[in-house]
Amino acid sequence: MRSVLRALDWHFFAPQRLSDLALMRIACVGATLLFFFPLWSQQLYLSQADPILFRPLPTLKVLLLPLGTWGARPSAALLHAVWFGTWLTGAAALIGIWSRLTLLLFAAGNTLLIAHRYSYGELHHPEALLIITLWLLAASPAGVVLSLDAVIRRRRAGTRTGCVGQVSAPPVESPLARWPLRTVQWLLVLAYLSAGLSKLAAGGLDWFNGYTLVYYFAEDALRWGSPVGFWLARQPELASALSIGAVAFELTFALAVLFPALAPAYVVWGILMHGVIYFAQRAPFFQYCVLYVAFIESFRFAWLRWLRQAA
Amino acid sequence: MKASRAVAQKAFAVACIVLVLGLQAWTIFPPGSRSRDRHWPFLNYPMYSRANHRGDSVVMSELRAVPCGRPDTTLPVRASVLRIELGRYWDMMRRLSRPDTPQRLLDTLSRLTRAGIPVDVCGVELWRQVLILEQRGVRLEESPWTRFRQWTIEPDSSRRSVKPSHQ
Repeated sequence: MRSVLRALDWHFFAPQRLSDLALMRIACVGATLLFFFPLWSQQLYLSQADPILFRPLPTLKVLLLPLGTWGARPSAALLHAVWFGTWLTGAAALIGIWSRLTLLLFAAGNTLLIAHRYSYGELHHPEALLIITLWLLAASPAGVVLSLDAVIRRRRAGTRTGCVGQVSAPPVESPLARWPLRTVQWLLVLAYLSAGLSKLAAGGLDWFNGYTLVYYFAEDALRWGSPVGFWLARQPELASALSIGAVAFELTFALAVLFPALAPAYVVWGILMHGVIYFAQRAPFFQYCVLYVAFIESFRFAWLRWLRQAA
Repeated sequence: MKASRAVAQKAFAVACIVLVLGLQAWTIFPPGSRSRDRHWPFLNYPMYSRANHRGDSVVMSELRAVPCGRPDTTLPVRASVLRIELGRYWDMMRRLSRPDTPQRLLDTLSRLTRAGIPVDVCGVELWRQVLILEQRGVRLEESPWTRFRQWTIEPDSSRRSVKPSHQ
């Protein structure tokens, strides 16, 4: 038992570069601001939808509780204030000023806006893990380096000691830098495992017959107008191979965490898989590609190995 | 002092790990085909998990409105016209395609259609396109759109209800 705990302790709390965690902050916050930020037009559109359609998610109810009654529908004015405030705190979190607070507000604002969007009967999956990751970053020392906070801290310390420029830099590694990245890695494992196991539980081995994916390619190609999807909907053999590859990836993704040397291969495999899914079915899971930054240490080691071999 | 702070930070981190991974694991097990959406952002991922076979059909549905006085003309009634999210729109069409369409759903459809379409509407139709999974996949060119069901909307807009006329 003690050896298991020791192994878990090392797995989650072995010293890791703080810059890895800071890069995760920059990637997640930057990508959210640039590509995944909730559209104001959509929030306004939903706030004006028929009240009969509003069915608030528990997450929205909890976040709105300090501002009103349980389950109340947010007004357009409140949503606008949250939207604007979230954007501002996101910009601050990206450059790393008052990092803990701005990351916390950015996570809360994004959660509120997306939970509001999903309180009208339709819910999609791509944002969920990124939202959890924003909360994890807010709870971690993600702004200790590569941030304005770090610059300000150094300046202040230098002013106090009277030797500006000679103050020691923040530590390069920390035992608290690894756990948020590990948790994101395991969240990805659980999400992929859920997808793979659901296919086996609901579809069994028939899921690999080729016609299953042909059906989904055809359905999504018709809905969203995808030429790649139409083409794949006429290739049952290729669809069968793709279905085996997808479930193999989903069920074995844990190997990328347990054997870090495999992580780069899994990340490339994942990017290819999500690329095919996007072009064939228009399902945009690009947030997962951002979350792959959690494997940055494995990539650095692979790069160093390659450099050694090349030398 | 420094040591106790480090212990507190680590305890907080452990609590976060257990909470986040525990909630996510609790949501995905047991695996199946049903979505557990209410605990967003902790979700399971059962999308596309049902198996399909040769001979199965892909059914696409579309709502169309019939303007008053022009029974041979139809206007597409998309989710954006009804001002509802796509998931709810597709769910509405699934329920409309069943033989026992609830009156409440027809009332809602009538109200949203009238609110979303500028012309006076006297009917709503459900159109379908059916693609069969054949040995070489699906063939779009052999699958025309056909009218599947239709309902009449009362011309009196103040009543805001529909009557099933033909199924």
